[in-house]
Amino acid sequence: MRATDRVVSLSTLLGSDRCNADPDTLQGYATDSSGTTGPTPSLLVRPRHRNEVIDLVRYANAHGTSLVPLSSGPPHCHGDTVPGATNAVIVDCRDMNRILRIDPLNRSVMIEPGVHYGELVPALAAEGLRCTLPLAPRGNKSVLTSCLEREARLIPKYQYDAVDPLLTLEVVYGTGDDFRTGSACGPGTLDELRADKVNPWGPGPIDFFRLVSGAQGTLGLVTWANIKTEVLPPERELYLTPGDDLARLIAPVDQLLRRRVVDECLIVNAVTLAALLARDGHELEALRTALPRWTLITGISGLERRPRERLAILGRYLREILGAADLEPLAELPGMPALNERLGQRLDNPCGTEPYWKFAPRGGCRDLFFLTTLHRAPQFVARFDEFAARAAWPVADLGVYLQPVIQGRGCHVEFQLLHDPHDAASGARLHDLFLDASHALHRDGAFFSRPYGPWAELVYRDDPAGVAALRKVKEIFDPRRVLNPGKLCFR
Amino acid sequence: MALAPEIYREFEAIVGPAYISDREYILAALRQPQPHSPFKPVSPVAVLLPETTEQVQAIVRVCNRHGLRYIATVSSLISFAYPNGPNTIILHLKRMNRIVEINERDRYAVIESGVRHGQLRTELMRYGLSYPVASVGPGGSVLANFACSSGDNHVEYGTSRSNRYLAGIEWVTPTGEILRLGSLATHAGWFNADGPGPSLRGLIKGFAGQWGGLGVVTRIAIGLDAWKGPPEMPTEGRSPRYRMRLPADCHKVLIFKFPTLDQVHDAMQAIGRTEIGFSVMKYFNASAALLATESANEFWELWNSGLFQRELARPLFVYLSTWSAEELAYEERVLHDIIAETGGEPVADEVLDIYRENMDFFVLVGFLQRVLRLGGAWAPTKLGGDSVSHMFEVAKAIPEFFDGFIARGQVLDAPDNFMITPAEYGHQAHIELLYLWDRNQPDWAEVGLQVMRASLENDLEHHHHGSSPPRAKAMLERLGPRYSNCHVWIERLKAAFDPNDVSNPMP
Repeated sequence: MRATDRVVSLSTLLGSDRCNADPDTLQGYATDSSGTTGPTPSLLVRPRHRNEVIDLVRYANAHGTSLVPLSSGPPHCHGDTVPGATNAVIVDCRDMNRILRIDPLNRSVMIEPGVHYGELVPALAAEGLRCTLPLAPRGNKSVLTSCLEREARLIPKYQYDAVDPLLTLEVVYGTGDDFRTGSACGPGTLDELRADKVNPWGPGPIDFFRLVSGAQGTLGLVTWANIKTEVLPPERELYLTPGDDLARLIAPVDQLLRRRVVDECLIVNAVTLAALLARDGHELEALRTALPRWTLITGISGLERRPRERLAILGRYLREILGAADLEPLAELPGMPALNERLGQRLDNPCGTEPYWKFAPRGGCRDLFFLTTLHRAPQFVARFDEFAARAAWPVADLGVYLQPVIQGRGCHVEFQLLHDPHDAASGARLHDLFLDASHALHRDGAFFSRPYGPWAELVYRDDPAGVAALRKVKEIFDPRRVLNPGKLCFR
Repeated sequence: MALAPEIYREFEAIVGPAYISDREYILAALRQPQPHSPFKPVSPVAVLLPETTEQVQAIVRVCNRHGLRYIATVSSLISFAYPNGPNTIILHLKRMNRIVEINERDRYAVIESGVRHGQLRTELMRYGLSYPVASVGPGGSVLANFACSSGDNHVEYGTSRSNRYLAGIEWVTPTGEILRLGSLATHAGWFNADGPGPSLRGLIKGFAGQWGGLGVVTRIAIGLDAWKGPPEMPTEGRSPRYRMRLPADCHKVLIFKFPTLDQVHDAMQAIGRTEIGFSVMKYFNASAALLATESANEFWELWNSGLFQRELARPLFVYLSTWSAEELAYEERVLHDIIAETGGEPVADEVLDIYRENMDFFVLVGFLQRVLRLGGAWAPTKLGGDSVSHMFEVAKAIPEFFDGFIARGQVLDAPDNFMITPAEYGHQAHIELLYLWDRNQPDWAEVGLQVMRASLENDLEHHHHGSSPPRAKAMLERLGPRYSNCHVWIERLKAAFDPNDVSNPMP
């Protein structure tokens, strides 16, 4: 089908104001901040309703058109929204942006894919709720995508597995059929169903929601999801524990999480903490040099009843456990007053200002991240440091963020490579460092559970049986391979 | 039908002559109908006891080659463990009973299929570790509960359903490939079961498991929690007369009764929002009476006294388990605030003492098999999950279909014998209605199914998610369209991964 015919057909389907064939606009989708490049898409469409998504997928099946979904605003960072096939249509779901239901009693929220953290966080707070956030996400980041893609979150104690806090969802599979997972499946239509749609498992013997998690839109387009939320604590205390030795700082973290003492729990290096807190370039440099090499950030909370009593007990546990490791939780870092409140703001809210905090220092940031166990994390940090040193990557441009996940039974390790995207020499060095380190860390046992871009080949080449199984799943849910072709092992 | 000698020899070459049998007196035990079931299982043609994953793989490949069905089982306490068609072999996994690894530091344990709760839970206590033990008794297979069946438990309020705790999976697919899921797939260890990319773990287990219908799970890693009790169970006496009390400064059981279900609901919701407590449940009353007594006569004496009907019609069981006496006192204060606000009052001491003296109820449920003791028939229904609020909504509709069975004398007069267990501090909940009936009544064989059907029809009428579509082809076909056409996708996945339909085909 010719591009002009496609525009006409989809304009008829969705309305001409929902289709954008402007070459300059489309050119912007042929690359992203990760440096991934692909063919320029032929069209961008903005559906508003589930039925339009169904129509789009059916159209794609009938005409062999590739669909590349996205729900977050720019910048896109992982290459998953860059087309892997020619003449693709970008399905921009940002206009599907309704918060469909906030259920304060059962602590959940039902949202469309275009709902962003910037809208959801204040809406939940007004109902006395919060969602567990990733580390200062972009305000225009899709909450649904963030959950589907299993992004690490700040509060490990609320996470029981990697797909938590995702509950139920509605998906339009690549076949054009729609489906609802978990207790949202029925009986009856969505309007008839009395359930609150918070049981994620099933229906029957399959966890359908898991199959579309981490799938980068290759199996189905999710049209809404129910997400777990938590009570917004009336009182919260944040503590900063400085340290030079990462392994020593991590050791008590395990105890804090075993005992479920802390809510927020993360470790960052001086570069990351400075980037999070700095209000301008001058302060960034000042903070980076003044902050401790590593900082453990922990939060304890008093809930709805007797919050001060709870805080007193948890505070004592926190001091005891850290004290046993000869560490001290501090309200403020020595000589650096008033950071605590700013940090609290950062952790409780998405990033509302431009540029995004990761991009502010140098203009660009490439994240290299994976999962491992808490105790192995320092080994991987040391290993990456070797590669960074070999590549002469400036220490000042290397952020490190360690996020315990799933009750502390795992750890998200993230290296933030700050760079100037207009500096070609730095770009080449970044590319080599990123690939070399990824390969080495993978060999050493880093788990690239969300295999974007070059990581896909890394993880799937050693697992032919897993690839065969994934392709069987793909064959069922997207037999014409219209959804985001070229990603994962679906090449 | 007998197994062809040449196929027998193929199997024998895999497991060795000591671990295969097609002798009649052995097979007779494997086709024995369950007491409550009117169905007589088809006899298997052989039973094999593999020892390794590779042996399981080889057996599965032979089955595919010859069109033989296979059922993997350990405890065999459910009907799906028995053949429903000809040419079926039983893969009894009880020899695969190794605790492969206990990783104290990273908090996971790697186990084989035949490891039992009584074996693992007690071992982990020595390491200060724990996991939510399914309410199946100490003899249940840990792996089956986590990866193949259901696995709800008495402490899921403070933990979760067991499948949440899967941290790694080794799976022999229906056609005999060995898949390792999650971090194991890339040799990164046993700590994460999801990914890379789309989580294939979703094929292994949903709300319930595959019950052996999609290959054989041979090893899993489960995530572990901290254990707040001593390294050994502080038990006094001998079963069935024993006591197990955990240290009183950090462990306490409290049970309250409420005038209405709405009040139980309100208290349960309020407790969840404060995150106090380790176990919170609206528990059964007739089953509680069975667990509390040592013989059928004792049960009837207790039940006929009306004590459990009075005290436990609308109860809220709360087990507080803390790291310090100070924390216990704080949690108790919060709890009493909530109970006072919601109109609860303590149950009689004679009821409370049962649980204070036997805290294993919250650890291993050592005497769970007592619920089977009456010698009649019993079955669970509902078995669904959604919010705490919705589960109470489902519960309130139970009399609509259940009272008739009671009035006709078909089931025990125990309308309150249902459990609602919240999970993850009340983010979800599970409901289960247990009913007991007398096998001496003329239509006994029909009663179990009639109650189940009536329960399902009630859910359909009210659009309640009180249960998932059952694992039975005809029912799935009929109900699937009401449940988002799930039958279509379940059948397509089964056909793709088990093209010869040999892995415990659906009845």
